[in-house]
Amino acid sequence: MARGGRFADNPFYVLGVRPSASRLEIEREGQKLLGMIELGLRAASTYATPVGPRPRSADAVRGAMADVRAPERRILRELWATLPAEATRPPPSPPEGDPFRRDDAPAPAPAQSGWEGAFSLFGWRRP
Amino acid sequence: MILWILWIFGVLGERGAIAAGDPVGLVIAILTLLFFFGLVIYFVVLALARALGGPLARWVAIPFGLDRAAGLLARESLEWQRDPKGGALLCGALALLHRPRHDEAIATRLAAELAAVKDIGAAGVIASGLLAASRGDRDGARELLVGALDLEMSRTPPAARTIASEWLIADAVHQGAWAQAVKLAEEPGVSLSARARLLVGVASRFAGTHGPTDAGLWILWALAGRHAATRPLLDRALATPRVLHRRRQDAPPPPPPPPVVDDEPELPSDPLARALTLHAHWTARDPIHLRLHPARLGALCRAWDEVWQQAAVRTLVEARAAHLGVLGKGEAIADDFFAEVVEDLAALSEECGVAIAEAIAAERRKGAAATDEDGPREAEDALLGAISGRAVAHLRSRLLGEVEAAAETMESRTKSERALPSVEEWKEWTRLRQIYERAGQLGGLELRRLMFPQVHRSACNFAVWLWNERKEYGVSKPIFRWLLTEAEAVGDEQAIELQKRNVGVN
Repeated sequence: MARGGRFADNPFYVLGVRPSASRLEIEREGQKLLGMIELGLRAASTYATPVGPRPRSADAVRGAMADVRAPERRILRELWATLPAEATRPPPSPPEGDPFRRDDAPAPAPAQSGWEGAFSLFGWRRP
Repeated sequence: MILWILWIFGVLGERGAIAAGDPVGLVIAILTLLFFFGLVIYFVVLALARALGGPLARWVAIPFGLDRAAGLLARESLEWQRDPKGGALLCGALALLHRPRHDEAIATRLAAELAAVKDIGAAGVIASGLLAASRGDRDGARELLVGALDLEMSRTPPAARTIASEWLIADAVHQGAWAQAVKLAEEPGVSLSARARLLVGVASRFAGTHGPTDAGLWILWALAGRHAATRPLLDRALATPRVLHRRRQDAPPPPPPPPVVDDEPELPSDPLARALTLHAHWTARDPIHLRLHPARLGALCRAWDEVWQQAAVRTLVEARAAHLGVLGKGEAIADDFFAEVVEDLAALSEECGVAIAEAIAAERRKGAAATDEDGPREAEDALLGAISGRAVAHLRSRLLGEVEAAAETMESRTKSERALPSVEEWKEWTRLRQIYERAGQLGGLELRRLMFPQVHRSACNFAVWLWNERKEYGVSKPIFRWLLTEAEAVGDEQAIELQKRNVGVN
């Protein structure tokens, strides 16, 4: 499974319902979302998860509805959906500088990006 | 001496023949003189080719992208006498790299010639790396060129090492991996060109290592040529403060204060919610965050260990199973849940390159430092809980399987004697070695001891086959050397004895 997939693909987050929702509520929410997606409404185009917002598609909604119909599978998904979707902060944009630098490295020097002309200096094509 | 005798014979014969009016003697004398001059011309051309072949290839054929001419000139030059075929192919590949666009026809021709080379040396491996670079496979090129620097020094023409190092330095500078560029320049047996020295000087300034002064950078820039192109880089370097070597101190400096980490999540008190919060937080972020702070992975593993200990999940699952009418399946569902957790933790450990036991030990040390405790340091594996222990076992099993599969593939090919071109054999070995070393980094010495017998058997048989049957000394010797080093690391006495004999060390 892809990183964060337990949360990102969790049917409860895809459908925007809490794990305590009844089967009827889940079906109703799924049908409503399918209708909204068909109409192209922006409100249904994404969904929130603890690993950040994800795009929502009709296929994902249908898959999520099917996923929670089997009780064993539903309980498993419920456990991963214990957290509210907004419980954690989404990852910030990557900081500038060298991410490989250790915290205890000496003398923080200003970060320097690479140099585009390195290969052409030798007359070589850049791969 | 022989030429001198022939010359005397020819001149005297001609004079004698002319004096005697003997036409047969005259013809013999003329033929002898022609033969003499032919020999002189041949040796002059050969000497010129030996002396000027390298410079002509380097300064004329390669810059103009004349791959065939570069190959022919290199084949005769003194520069590539240790490996003339590999040198010719390397110069051909360099010429291809100098062309404005990649030419697949040339690359295919060079690759075919490379495949036909027996007992490949470093020059051939580097030629293969440059072909990969020309085709746009930068990672493949880097892998081959780095591997080529590990080959036997005695079989590596110095010019080949220099070309490989310069390409790798250009690659590091292009990416901004300044420290890597400086490290590459310190490889033994490398004599860098003025351009490469400028890049290394600039890189040392950006990396914050000891490097040239401002005046030194100006001199490097003046010697490197292409002044207009390199001036912006020089200006950037001059604007960066120079870092001097730290003087050795009698007492170690006090440790820096722990960094303020502002990217930690706020944790709820409930164990399951806490573990899920950490899980979501770190799986959503780049693995570099865990690589730099292994204690973060340790905290996540310990959070899951606590969830397991408290048995709250099982109670919750039993209640939900009863509510949804699937009585008796609660235990299996909880097991499936923890199996998924274990799978994720193992994947996180693999992605960030940090062993779980090491991460938990780091987390423990961090906690001990915070409370000023200085208790005895426990063995890392003893710190593992139920879930983290399963994650370690899961990862070890996966890595062991991967290494064994790669080793068995090599062994079965050796047994069935399915030969590949030399350069492909080198790639196969490099691939197995990389899988093994990565697994060893994650699984520690214990896993290395488990993996080594299989890898030793397969790689040793492979290298012996290459040595005895195929005379591929250039590929097999580094394999024996690596096996000896690894056997010493894992303490395998039999393997040490065997590899000492193979390497020729008493």
